[in-house]
Amino acid sequence: MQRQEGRERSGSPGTTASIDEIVAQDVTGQKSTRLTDLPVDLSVGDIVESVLREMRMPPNDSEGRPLSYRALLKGREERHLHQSERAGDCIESGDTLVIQPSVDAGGMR
Amino acid sequence: MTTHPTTASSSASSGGDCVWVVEILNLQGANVGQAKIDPDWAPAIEAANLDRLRRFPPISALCAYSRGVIEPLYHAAARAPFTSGARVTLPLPDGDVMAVDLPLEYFGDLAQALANQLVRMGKLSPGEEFRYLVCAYPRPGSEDAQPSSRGLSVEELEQPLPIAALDRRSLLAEARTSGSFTPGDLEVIIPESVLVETGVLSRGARDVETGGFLIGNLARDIETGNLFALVTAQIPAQNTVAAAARLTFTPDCWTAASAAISIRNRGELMLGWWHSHPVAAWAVSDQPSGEAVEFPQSHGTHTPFFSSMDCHLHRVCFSRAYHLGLVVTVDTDALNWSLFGWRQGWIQHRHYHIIPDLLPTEEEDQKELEDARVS
Repeated sequence: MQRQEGRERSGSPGTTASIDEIVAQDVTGQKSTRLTDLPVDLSVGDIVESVLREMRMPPNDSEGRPLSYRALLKGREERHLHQSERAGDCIESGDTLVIQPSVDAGGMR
Repeated sequence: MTTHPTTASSSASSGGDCVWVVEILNLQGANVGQAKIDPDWAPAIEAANLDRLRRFPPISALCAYSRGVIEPLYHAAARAPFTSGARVTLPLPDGDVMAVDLPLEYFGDLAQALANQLVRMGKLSPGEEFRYLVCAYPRPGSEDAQPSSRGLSVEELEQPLPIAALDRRSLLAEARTSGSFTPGDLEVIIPESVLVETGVLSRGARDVETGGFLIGNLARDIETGNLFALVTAQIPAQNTVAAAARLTFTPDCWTAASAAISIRNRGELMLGWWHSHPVAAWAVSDQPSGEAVEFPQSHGTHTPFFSSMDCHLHRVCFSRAYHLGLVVTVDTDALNWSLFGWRQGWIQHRHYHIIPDLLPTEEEDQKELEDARVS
């Protein structure tokens, strides 16, 4: 189900609807990015990837394997979004996402 | 790290506008290998960002990465393309810019990685000492301008930071120190109770690692204006997955920590993290894989260290130059606390002050009283 948070770009009938603006933060809340004009059919995974690139957060773990990141929808629903969810189905303009890694510390040198 | 205000150079090229190459030389000076490198410039920008915050007191926000410019520092004698490091330039509010120079050691890990590769190829002997050179070759265009996903516009924001005004002298009245101070390091103050709590939790976890978060404030000394970090509390990490030599910080763990900081409602920042190294347990057991855990020993005591995984976690989650990582080494009959943090873009063992417990402020007393009335 697609909610009505998306807006049609004026003067472009039939073009993809988009979400005006959201903010994504890192786990400390001390790094933030603003994302604008999100196409509603963009996946959460694509959004996370864009944020990681902009924030220069490593996509891989210390052994070169892809690091797992999840997006927490802060405040309104306070839940982790699935990577394959469509932005238009779960995100509203004004929302804040927190990008959270699952990451290991380890004792060995 | 040397810093100085400078004027913008029209010929400045960003790190992304250069091809950077590391060359490995044996002690006879012969080139045994070279490779193009792709340095991680984020810690360099962060180092400059903290320096900007410290040197220019009216500033209380961190620049976005994209506002930093990286350029090679060409070697004065050997000249281009040979470098003696890199220069990071950040804007100042008055339209001027400031620069921070990073030494050649910034490329040390990349040189070591290439050397390891050369050892595997038989071009260097295991343990053989080597020297390295870093060259930078300008190239047209910038690779920093990466296309965003399907019209999506993504922009890192300037990050305002709450900076308290505190009396450093009275905080340190009864302080003792751990480690030796390195000039240029941000001063860090940790109450003894935080160390005690991390020690109790580490001992309680027995033969597996445990951890948590360090929270507190960035503050300017009311007397000198100098910036320092004051840890006010630790929050045990919930929902981690623990093993003898591994501790996984899961997404739920970050959510719980953030909620705990909100509930405290004291305007604290997540300043870092802590975790334990149960070396006493490592000494008597092997890893589940059957591979013995390697750890350093020195005069019968375990030397504290940040493993490559620890460094990676710190880089992923705690990349601001003031972020801290505390290691609690749990030995059979002793606990040892060691603090690590960023210095010139590398993670290094560092000094800190230990103070008696912080007394709650009048405001905090009042708040607790009000909370008690409500409940």
